Amino acid sequence: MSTALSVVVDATLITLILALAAFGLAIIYGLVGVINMGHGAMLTLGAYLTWAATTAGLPFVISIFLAAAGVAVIGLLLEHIVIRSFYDRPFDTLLLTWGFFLVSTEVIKIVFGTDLRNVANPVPGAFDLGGIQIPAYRTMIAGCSLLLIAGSALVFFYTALGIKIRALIQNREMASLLGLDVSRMYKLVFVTGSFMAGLAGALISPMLSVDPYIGNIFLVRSFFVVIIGGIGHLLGGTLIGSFLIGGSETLFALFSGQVFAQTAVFAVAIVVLRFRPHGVLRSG
Amino acid sequence: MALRVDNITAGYGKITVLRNLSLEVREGEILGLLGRNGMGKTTLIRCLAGLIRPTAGNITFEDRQITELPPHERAQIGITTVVQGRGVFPGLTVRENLEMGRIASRRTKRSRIDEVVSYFPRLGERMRQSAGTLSGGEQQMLAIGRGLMTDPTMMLLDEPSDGIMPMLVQQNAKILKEINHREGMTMIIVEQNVPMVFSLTDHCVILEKGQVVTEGTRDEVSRSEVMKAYLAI
Repeated sequence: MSTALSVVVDATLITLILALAAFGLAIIYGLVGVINMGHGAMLTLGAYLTWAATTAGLPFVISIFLAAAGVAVIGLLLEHIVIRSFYDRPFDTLLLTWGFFLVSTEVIKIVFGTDLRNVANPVPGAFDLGGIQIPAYRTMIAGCSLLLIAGSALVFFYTALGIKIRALIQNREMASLLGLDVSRMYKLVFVTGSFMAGLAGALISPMLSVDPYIGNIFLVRSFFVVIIGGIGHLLGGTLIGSFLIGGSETLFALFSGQVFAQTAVFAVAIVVLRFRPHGVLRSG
Repeated sequence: MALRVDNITAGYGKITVLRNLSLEVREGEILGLLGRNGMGKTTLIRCLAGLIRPTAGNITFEDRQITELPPHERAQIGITTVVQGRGVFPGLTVRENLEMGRIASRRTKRSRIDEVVSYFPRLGERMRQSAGTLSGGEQQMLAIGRGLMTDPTMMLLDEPSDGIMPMLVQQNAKILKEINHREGMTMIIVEQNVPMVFSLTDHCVILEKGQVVTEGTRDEVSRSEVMKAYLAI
């Protein structure tokens, strides 16, 4: 019984943490169609900026928002200088964002070095749930993830901005003919996605040692989350994709080693895509 | 003059569709643009909407040069476009589609939903329904209503009768005429449905190979050789 409860708790936490990590990618890929290979680098930058801010003595909460804002500014520059001329050319944007990943990884190495850095856990310890020890900080991140997704759902479905974004995804030309400044909306979406990626990196940083490749741990999984959930299904798709990837990894890890579990997860993803090539939530 | 088009040339890449085309539309007037398929009617509408930039010539709207203006800025100065195929946002509700017109154009903070519903009562009954589930005729009503929500002074309509049952075509034409009367709105209607255009306006233009070949009143146009030859009237 306690094993089952433990699996449910672990799967829930991993699902929500993965959703947090993938959310920025889901925004940029799902809404403006850019396959952002720089997503991992944005997570890494968020983690390093958090490390830098906390090391400078700033409180953790302020540090994560500064880190996210810093990554948002980098995203803004990337979009304004490079990406905005290449929307509608997915292969070009894939290469350009891959280039951004390579450059920013090298810049991180030059600025911060390759030594492992640690961000102090702001909420250490665990609490007891029916005999199971649940790490407090992971629970907090899962809560933040849920809040972010719920907040985004409110914006998406109940605000004027949400109407504009949904209209833009469905028919860009028509949205523009009604008066919507499409390039400005694309910029806003790209910056929001970058902010979310930076925030995810910042929140994840106390859980892992920070190195120049920390974001890559989540990059491939994030892509699977977005593709399996269904591109453009920002909220439900991200949650379902995270559940299928994170939840199945937890289950497989219960009966095998971590390496086998990760391999099996990718096999599950391939099987799902074989039968639902447009993702679980997309038909056709 | 609401709109003046001076010698515009436009097309797609190396293909020229409109050749030195000129026309004028007075304020509050409905202009009917007729012609066979491939003669440049839709290209002209796309030029006026800002989706295609002319390679030569000028477009002036309410004494303002708009030739270089992108589509969203044209909507913001009062030009709204009802595209062929209607272009409703299928995943948005009827209400959201309508609100999108107001929100995107930023021309008015006042919602005109009540006025739109007074023109199209059927939309009022379907406010919460996804636009993608409406019939073709209802989608056309929504597209026109959404255009009205932008608070325009000029409406461009591309084949508003396309794919709609004849009864609804007549009904929509009647409502367009009412909108034109009540709001004094300038309209340009591209159509192949000649009776519909004639029921709406007395000023028609026939396009042939990207140029205006006949312009005049309903009677003048229907008596013209071009009309007889090409539209079989």
